[in-house]
Amino acid sequence: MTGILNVIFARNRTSLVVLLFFLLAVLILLSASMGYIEIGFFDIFKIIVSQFPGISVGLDYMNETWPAIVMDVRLPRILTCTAVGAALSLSGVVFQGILLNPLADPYTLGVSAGAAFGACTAILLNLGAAFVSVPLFAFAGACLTLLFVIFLSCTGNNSTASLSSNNLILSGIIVAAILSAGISFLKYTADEQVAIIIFWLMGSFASKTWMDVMVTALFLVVGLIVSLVFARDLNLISLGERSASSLGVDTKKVTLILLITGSMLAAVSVSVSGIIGFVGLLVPHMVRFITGPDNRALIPVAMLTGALLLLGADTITRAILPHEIPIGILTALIGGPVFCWIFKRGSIR
Amino acid sequence: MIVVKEISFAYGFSPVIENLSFEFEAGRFYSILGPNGCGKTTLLDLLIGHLKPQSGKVVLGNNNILSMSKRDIAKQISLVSQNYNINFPFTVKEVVMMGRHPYIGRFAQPSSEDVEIVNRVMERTGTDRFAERKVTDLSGGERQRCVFARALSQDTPLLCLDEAFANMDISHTIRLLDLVKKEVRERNRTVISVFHDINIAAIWSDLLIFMKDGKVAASGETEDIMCSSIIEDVFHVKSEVMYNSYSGTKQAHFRATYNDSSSIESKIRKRTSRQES
Repeated sequence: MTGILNVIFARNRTSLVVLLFFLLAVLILLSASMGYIEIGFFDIFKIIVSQFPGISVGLDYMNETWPAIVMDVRLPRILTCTAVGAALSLSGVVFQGILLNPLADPYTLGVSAGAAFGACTAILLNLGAAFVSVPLFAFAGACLTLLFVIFLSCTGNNSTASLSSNNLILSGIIVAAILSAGISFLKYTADEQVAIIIFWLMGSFASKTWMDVMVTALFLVVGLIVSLVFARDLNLISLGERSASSLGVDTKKVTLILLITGSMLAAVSVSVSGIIGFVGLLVPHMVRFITGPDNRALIPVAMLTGALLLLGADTITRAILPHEIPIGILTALIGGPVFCWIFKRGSIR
Repeated sequence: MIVVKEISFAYGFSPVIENLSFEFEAGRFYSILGPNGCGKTTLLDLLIGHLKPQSGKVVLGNNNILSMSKRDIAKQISLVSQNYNINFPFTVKEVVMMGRHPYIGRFAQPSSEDVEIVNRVMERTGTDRFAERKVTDLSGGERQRCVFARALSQDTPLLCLDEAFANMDISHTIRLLDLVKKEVRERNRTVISVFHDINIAAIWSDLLIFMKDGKVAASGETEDIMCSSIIEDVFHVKSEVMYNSYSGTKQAHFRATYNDSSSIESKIRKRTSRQES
């Protein structure tokens, strides 16, 4: 299967990107048409087109609530989900590269634990009443964690070891362990709010707004530009710091820039939608079978694939399952077994 | 070519290189020899600007190496490092092309010249036979040849080899050493190589540098410096060094010393002392 895909796409990355773009657009429209109220595929198209100024499309025959459902409820959720899927996959690609480890993910450095701790604090202090503050606290928690991890891994006056992948992974694990103990403690003291905390941690795209779409998309675009600029350097860094350095990459600088980029993508994703596992680990990994490890191809393809998969999962939980289950659980339930399968096939690269 | 001026370096508080000075000239093949932990790899790291000396400086051309950008250094110095592990399944050709990284603009594609250099290097190193294979599927020796080819495609005046032949079979070792020696002779290139095998080093090197405890214990033309007293001083082993006509250079011979009192030498010594008495 991957062999066939390899043959078709190995020499023609652009066509793969175009195909994935097309599939994503179709899935977005399809997803918007599904839900409690069924709206036709082409009606969705008409509703979206009618939003552009100067274009008048006859929407008279529709139920007048349909445009509101599509534009205010479904599309913000769908687009946030798409952007988060892309951001998590991109972040995964970046982290796997700088940590020289194909099994790293956006949460390896404890960014998710930091965000969760921030969110729990906000919920516990009842700042959650103004619901904006939970994402803000989560984002601040993620940033502080990242700074602390960078600070920890810069130890020692010997310049080679600082920011090395081993140092980063160790610092991340330590910080994440402390923070998860902190989260457990907060849950323990939270009394009746514990349900809110647990629900937040499991992740959800319910009741997302255009604001969420804008913020995530902004981070995604900046992250994409930065990682494409440094894509070839990332190729070299993934071979080891000493090699990259001797091939003309300023490893300290590039690692730091990419570390911050990857972490910001993960931070904004977690802040917007809670902790969604396995996307950032699995998508880059699977896409690497098709595109190969060259980040210049991997980055765009992994982003689109991640967006497709997460939107697919969210559409399943929102529109197909009789009861909505948290997206974080769904991705882990699907992703975990897939990972086991890849692992058992012995093709972990 | 590259001058080391009174550099010192320590990991934490344990000094590795102490007040070392040396001048490497263009068009020569240097070998660095010495026991484990004597600072050979650290010296190479200091030479290529990967580590920063606590005192002293490394001067490449007319510049302090620390003031140069990584990209400019990479156009002057290439390195085959001890660690040739690669975790990601790049093809051999992709890895060798990475040697052209310092010459290719950020968003540019490799020029026809880059492609030609890579093809030629791959042919000369014999890596063209597995060009499309993934480096993660190669044996240790093949991967080391692939990394060697990458350094050659960097096409730099100075090539640093850090035990670059440790996992290679003898035929590829000879092939690659001949290849770089030819570059040294015909294109005035400089090679600085860390070796463990004194005899291999002696065959291809113009000059030997023996290191001990972070200092240069002895250095000079191979013919002058290859002697048993220096080898004993540096490695604490006895040897016999003699000219070997087949290799055309001096070679050191060692022997088992696990049971030294019954060794041939001591038996002869005993016999002669008995005869004298």
